[in-house]
Amino acid sequence: MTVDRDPRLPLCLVVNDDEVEVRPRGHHTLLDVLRRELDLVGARPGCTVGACGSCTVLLDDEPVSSCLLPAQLVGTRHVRTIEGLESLAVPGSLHPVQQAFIDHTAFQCSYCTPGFILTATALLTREPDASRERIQAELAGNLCRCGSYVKIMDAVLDARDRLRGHHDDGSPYDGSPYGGAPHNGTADQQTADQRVADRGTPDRGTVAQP
Amino acid sequence: MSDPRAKVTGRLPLLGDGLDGTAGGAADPGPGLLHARLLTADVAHARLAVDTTPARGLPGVTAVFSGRELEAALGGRPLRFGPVLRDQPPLAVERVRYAGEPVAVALAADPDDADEALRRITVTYDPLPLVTDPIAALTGATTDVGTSAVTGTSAVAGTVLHPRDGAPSAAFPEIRLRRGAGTNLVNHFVIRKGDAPGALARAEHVFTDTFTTPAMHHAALENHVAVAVPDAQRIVVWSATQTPYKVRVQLAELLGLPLDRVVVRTLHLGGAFGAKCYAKIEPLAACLARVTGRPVRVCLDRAQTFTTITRHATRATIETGVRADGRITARRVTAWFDAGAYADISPRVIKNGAYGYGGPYDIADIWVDVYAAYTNRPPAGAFRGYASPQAAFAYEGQTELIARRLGVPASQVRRVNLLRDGSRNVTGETMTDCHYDTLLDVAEHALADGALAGGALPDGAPDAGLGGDADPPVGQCLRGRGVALTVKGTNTPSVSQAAVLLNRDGSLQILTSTVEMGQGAHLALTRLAAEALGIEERMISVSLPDTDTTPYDQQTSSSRSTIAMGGAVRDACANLLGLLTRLAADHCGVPAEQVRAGGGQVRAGATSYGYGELVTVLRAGQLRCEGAYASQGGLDHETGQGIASSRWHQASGSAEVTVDVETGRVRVLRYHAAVWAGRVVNPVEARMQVEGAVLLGLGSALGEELGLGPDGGQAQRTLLDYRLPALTDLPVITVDLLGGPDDEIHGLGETAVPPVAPAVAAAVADATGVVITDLPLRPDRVLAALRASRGFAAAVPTSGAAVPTSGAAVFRDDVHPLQLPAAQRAEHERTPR
Amino acid sequence: MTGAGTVRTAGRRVAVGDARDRTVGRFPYVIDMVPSGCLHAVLVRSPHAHAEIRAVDTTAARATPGVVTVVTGEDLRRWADQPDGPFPYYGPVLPDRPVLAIGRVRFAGEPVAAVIARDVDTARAAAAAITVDYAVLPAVFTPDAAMAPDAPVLHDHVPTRDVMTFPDLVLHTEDGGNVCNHFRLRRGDVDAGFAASDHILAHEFRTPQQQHVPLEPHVTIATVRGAEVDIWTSAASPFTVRSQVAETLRLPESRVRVRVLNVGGAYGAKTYPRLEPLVAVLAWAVRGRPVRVELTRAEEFATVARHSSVVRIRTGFRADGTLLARRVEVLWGAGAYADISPRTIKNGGYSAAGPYDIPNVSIDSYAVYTNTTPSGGFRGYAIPQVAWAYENHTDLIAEHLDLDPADLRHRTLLRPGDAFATGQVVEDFHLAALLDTARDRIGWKPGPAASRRVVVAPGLVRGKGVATILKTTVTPSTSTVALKLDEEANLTVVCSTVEIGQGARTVLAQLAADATGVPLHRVHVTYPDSAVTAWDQTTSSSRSTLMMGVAVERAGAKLRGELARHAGTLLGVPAAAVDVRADRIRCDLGPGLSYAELLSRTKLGGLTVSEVHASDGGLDPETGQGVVTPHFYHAAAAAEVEVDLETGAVRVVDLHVESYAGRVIHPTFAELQCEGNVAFGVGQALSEAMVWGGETGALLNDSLLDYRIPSVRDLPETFTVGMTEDPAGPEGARIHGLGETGSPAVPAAIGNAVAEALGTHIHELPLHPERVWATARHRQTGSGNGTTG
Repeated sequence: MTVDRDPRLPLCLVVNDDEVEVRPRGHHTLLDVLRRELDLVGARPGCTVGACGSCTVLLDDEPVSSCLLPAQLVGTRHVRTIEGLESLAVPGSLHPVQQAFIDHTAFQCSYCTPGFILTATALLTREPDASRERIQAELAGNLCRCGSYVKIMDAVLDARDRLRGHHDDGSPYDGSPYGGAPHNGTADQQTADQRVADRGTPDRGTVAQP
Repeated sequence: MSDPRAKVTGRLPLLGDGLDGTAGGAADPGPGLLHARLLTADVAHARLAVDTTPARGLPGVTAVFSGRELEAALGGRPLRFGPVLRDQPPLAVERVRYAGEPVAVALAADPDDADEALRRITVTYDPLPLVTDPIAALTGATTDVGTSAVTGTSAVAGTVLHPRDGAPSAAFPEIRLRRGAGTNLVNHFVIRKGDAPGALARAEHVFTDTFTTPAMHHAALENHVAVAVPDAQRIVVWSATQTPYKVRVQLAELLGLPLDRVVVRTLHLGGAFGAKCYAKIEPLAACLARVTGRPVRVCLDRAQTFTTITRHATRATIETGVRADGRITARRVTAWFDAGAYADISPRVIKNGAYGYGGPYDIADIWVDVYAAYTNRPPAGAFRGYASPQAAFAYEGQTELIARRLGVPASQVRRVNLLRDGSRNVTGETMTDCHYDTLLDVAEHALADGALAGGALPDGAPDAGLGGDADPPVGQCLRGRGVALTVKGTNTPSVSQAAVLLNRDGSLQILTSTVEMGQGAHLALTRLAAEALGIEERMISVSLPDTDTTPYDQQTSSSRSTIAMGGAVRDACANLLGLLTRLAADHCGVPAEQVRAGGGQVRAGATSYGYGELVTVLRAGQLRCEGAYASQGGLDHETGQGIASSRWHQASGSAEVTVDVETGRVRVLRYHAAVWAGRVVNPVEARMQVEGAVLLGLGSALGEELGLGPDGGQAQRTLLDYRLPALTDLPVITVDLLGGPDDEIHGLGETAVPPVAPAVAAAVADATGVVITDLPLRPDRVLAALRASRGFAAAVPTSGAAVPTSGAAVFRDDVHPLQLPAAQRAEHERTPR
Repeated sequence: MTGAGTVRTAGRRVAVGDARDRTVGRFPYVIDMVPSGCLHAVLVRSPHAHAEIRAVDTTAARATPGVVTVVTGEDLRRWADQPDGPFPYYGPVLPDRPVLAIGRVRFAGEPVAAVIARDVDTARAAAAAITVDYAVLPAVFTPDAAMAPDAPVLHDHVPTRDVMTFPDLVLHTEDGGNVCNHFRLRRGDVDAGFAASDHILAHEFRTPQQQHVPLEPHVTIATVRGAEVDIWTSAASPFTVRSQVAETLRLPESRVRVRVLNVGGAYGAKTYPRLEPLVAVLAWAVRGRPVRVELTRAEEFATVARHSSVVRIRTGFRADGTLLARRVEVLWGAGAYADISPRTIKNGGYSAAGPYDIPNVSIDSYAVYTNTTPSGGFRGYAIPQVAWAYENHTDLIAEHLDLDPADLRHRTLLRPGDAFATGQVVEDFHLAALLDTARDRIGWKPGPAASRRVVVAPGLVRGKGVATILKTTVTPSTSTVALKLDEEANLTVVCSTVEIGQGARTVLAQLAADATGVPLHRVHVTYPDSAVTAWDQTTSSSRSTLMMGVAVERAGAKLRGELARHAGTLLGVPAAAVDVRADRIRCDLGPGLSYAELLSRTKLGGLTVSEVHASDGGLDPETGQGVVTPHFYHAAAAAEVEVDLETGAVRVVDLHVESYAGRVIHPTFAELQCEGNVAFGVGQALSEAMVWGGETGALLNDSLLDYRIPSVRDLPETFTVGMTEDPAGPEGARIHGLGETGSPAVPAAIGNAVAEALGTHIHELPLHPERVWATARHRQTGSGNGTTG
């Protein structure tokens, strides 16, 4: 491929509910367009072979690896990036999945976080009652090298319960993880003693439930 | 310190570089930058209705706001900012107070889309009476658009620009104001030294004269620019400002945030001259970033910069009592400063103006009243010289008049009145470090041929000298020479902090919040540190200001940086040498007395280390020391007595001019600037600062003037209408930096500005016998003055009393009768004779 | 130290200030930056593992429209002679690596040329048009092969620096071979120890090269403005980058500005300059314009890796399990250039003795050049390799003595007061207790090897295993910090600790709040900016919470002292009589003031203090005896696995890792670190290995499709992490790093569990199905591994 043989072609996309005109080269992927032309950097390059999920965006509400999708093939399908997720939430607040990730501190370096959030959002939209196994299977396409998986699972399960208003056992959603909804730094209130006391209990997220 | 190569390769990081706010990688606004474009008012005073709906939803347009909509988006609180009085909205709300005031803004990733949106916004204006003259503003009179004639004297509804008073700002917590809420009085500053009225009553002669100076444009070639970047916790504002720490305070109070939620960072500035002191467009950028949650860039165009901030237009009436020998026994000054539509820093400017009117003279009884008044003109603020040039033009102009009236040389009038060590100045402070005699000697010596003869005369300038107080000339050009002697204070009390970081390779980082705007402050700080520590300048770097990480500094202005920040840096270096000494003593197990640190070496007993070597063996990684400078002072609110300035910046100027009697064109042939520099850190930069000051002064003397347009708005909004001095206007400029290595460092950024206009005016008087009391000395004005004088008995009706002098030529103390404002006339009538 | 806050924030799950930015895609990384006027560089890399460069033809590339310039090794050689030209070689310890290959390539993937163009596409296209003429040389990929007498020599001469930047480094480097450093440890009389032993066991263990796989690849943006350089980079040690770039461009360190934002994963990959010297040189070449390089995933694999290892371990012991003597020979695959290997193998060397009480120890550890990606630090810093060896070895000893592996460890583990192999006495050491916690947590039934083996179904066998490890942190080391109290008494922690996901900025804010009494919500921690933030040695080696933490606590005390001093002056009382805590300044006279009131009344315009915290230590170059760490970090793991004998698939059924924390500052981040250690350990144990080969000796699995890192589904079905805090309570408890401690124990515990299930030990990682299946088959057909002598 040389550049002169690969000219820029104007293209109209729908990104986060906006119609945008971009001019990608033929080989440019949706990820290239999002990062280079639209400044939407929440989708991030990780492996460029669709293996890590850092570049996940929603295409008509289904997660795709934007690093594999030629921009020219996006067509009229609606693209949603992490930057556009808030618009799905109650104005002024984050999407419940985003909030759950915050409440569970489900991140370390956070590079993978948008991808996980979008994949989980798509799943919970499609399958509000998704089981832990389903969630695990669905999230297996997103990699977190820091290994925040335990808290990511807790966050997604918690988000599922928030979205449907109750836990698996049917008990009403109580604004976990630390008892106190809407959760906002209530963890802050927890003392070291409490922490030591409840070490290892499920809601603290160090135990992965079978 | 920026590498000079960056300046000649176009790589000096300026915030305006590029459209993305990164200034070529120097800043990191992050992705998603929005450009804010402003719609500005085309009327000067009106009630306002803005309809932004037609502009909404355009492709690419993220948001559009009127002033009211912006306030609503931020919770409905009124948004007001200002360094002293919080009276200015980022966007006009319900009322526009000057032509050019921003009334709406459009945001888009592509500036063109934003501009398109602006074209769709409709604004309707319901005109209010115009207030364009400070005196009228205070008497309640209003001006008819198109004329400057004062109509009516009783307060007309709507003539008070700010019916509701602005809240005080935390940026200047200490300042006390004297003002009537619900009037156009911004502040009234008072000096009461002795009993001026009594002394005037007893005086042998009392002369009353009125002087005016126009509004001016700073014309920093880099327009105002700011990029505000919000995150979940804080907002980072990259700004081309001289006052990062003050702007931080202003933004925090505007947004209702704790100080720690706001960070202000600057790069290099493309000129400032006072225009970039205190928040200007940063509040708008910050508000927009806050609302959109995205980085927002505000960059003004020249026309907008023209109406963002100006130099105060002033009118001063000076009543001076003198003895026959010229000794001044009493003085009473009443001055009006046109603050424009918003207070900005006017309340402090008039303080400096007030003590400025004392001049370099020892006056036992002096009262000064300076009024800053709101008018429907762009806000006036700090300007290189900070009110001293306006004051100097007045008091030195009167020095000339007094001399002529008494028939004594002006130099004698100066000599008998000079402040000398031990005498008490206008604020009652006992003077030390006075050098006015020397400066006057230099100035007068410079007048003698030879002194300036070194410089060749510009082409076309006639060499045949026509003496000053000569009979009506035969040639086309009259030549004359004039002198002025002035004094300027510096920001007091004043605090600066600095830190130095010593690295393992012996290189040094200076942490400072001093803004580099071309004055060479960073080079000066580098040199001071290099001297103090005995290391090479190339080993030293100087930080750019960042309120998060670089030490506190009041601001970069008032010619204070080399004094205050230089003091802090030298203190930090001294502390570093102390620390190296202690550490080496411990490391080598010898008493500290046997350790010597300096000259790049630390000698502990027998062993000796380079600085870096010591840091390495100690495994300290990096050594850091803090340094501080603080000056004391302040004036009594009731009497204006006290310490006005920690240093007195003393200067003299000598000008030689020709005046074309046909056209009235004044041409400056030669100018000699002398300043008391004390210890000079950077001779090259110091000289350039003085030369720059002279050029600025020449602009103000000969042509620069912001006038009133027929619509009541500012007439000049382009650099075509507002001519700055160019190379072709350049006279032969010579500079004397007086002082020696053992003297105190003095500021040089402004010192040489005040003498220029009065020296030129004195030279014109010398050439023509006419003392012109209004700036600038435009050809039409000069011509009118010449015609009005007897020597040029043209049929120009005159008014105002002619005062005979020993000189053959008759001169008048007012030279443009047609334009004599009523207020000034009234002033004459009021003054005792 | 006593908290100066009302309520101590340390130990609490305080809210993470930047949490929101992380979830909305606004968390800044350098990879998101593309400055105006920025040029993009693309690298041409060698396909050959070892070859001479005969010629590089850049004509076509230079002719491509939009290409600014092309840089090759020849240019570097030429520039080196110019007075202001860049120094062409770099390396944290030995400057043995050319910025671009000069004359010779030493591993497949080594950069040979760089194309700088107006955009990436143009640069790529032009790079593709560059042709290189290679003369292929024989290559070696493993350290043992590289030490063979007839092995090709990678470096005719190993250069050293006059200024040694690593005070802890023990350097034995000789030309003529492939050994770039040799570390030795001699303790007691090993031969006597062996002579006195009832039994002697010797085994060899191997681990492959592995890659860090930070999801954010290396990315660097450099601008050269006259005699100043401005660098943005995704790095974990900004000041190490600064020194290197200063050396490369021959500038004072003060003229090199290095800025770092959040780092999208590092794990050791970003601890030393790898990309920065190259980008700095490219920026120098185009004077004034920013140059940006962002690596692809494949290039990431060619940038840095974890050392492969061969560990030959021989131990003499009594019948009761008492260990009398140990001799270890460790060969480390350093890759083509020294990078930090000379240092890594020192830690890997002395740590090979294990956490055991052994009177006589002899260790020889060799960093060996190989024709692979250069090896560097990797989460665990050489401990995972030796722990894999010594913990399998320990189980083999237990098996030999028919003892319960946990019981044997109880008999032999170091206890407080015992001396480690370097002679340093261990204290605050709780490994036996950690082992019990881990063991009990997975329901360990006491008994010798194989006694926990269960056949859950035909061909499905379960087994359990434990492992215990210790780890040191870089010593001596130094951190400096400045605490800046602004006019309103808000606090900025001006430090250069890098946020690499460990939560440093939150944790340091907690420590600063506790140390100064400024409320946590008014404390901010800076991002590193070498122009203004305080110098720090490195963000690695699990040292930040410890070293920077102590520096912050000290500075906090100092700041309160300053406040007391100023208050004393203001109130006219001795500073000693002033009590400064919890944002209040009180003394017997008067009601007292807030910090802010004091600052405004003294018109100080704020207050800044700085502190240096340095740890001491160092080893004798001949005997390796001395102080290696302020504290010994330690952890124990217990695992239960299920092996499918038909497929060789290993499933980790249950796992617990217990780490000694001393004092936990932010429980959630601490857990995240410990859980991350598990994910790393599992990947190393079951799947991760870089495979070199093919015709050119290239890396065969340089994509995440072929090189599999664990996903959420690859974690143990059930696992827990525990952090044991000082039994004496948090007051005065010492902070122990957690970022790596648990990870080395995981592969070892899994290995021992698999061994129990299989009835034999597999001596090489990873335990991927092919290998496990083969071993199982081999096992069924008789002979076992290991040799008894």
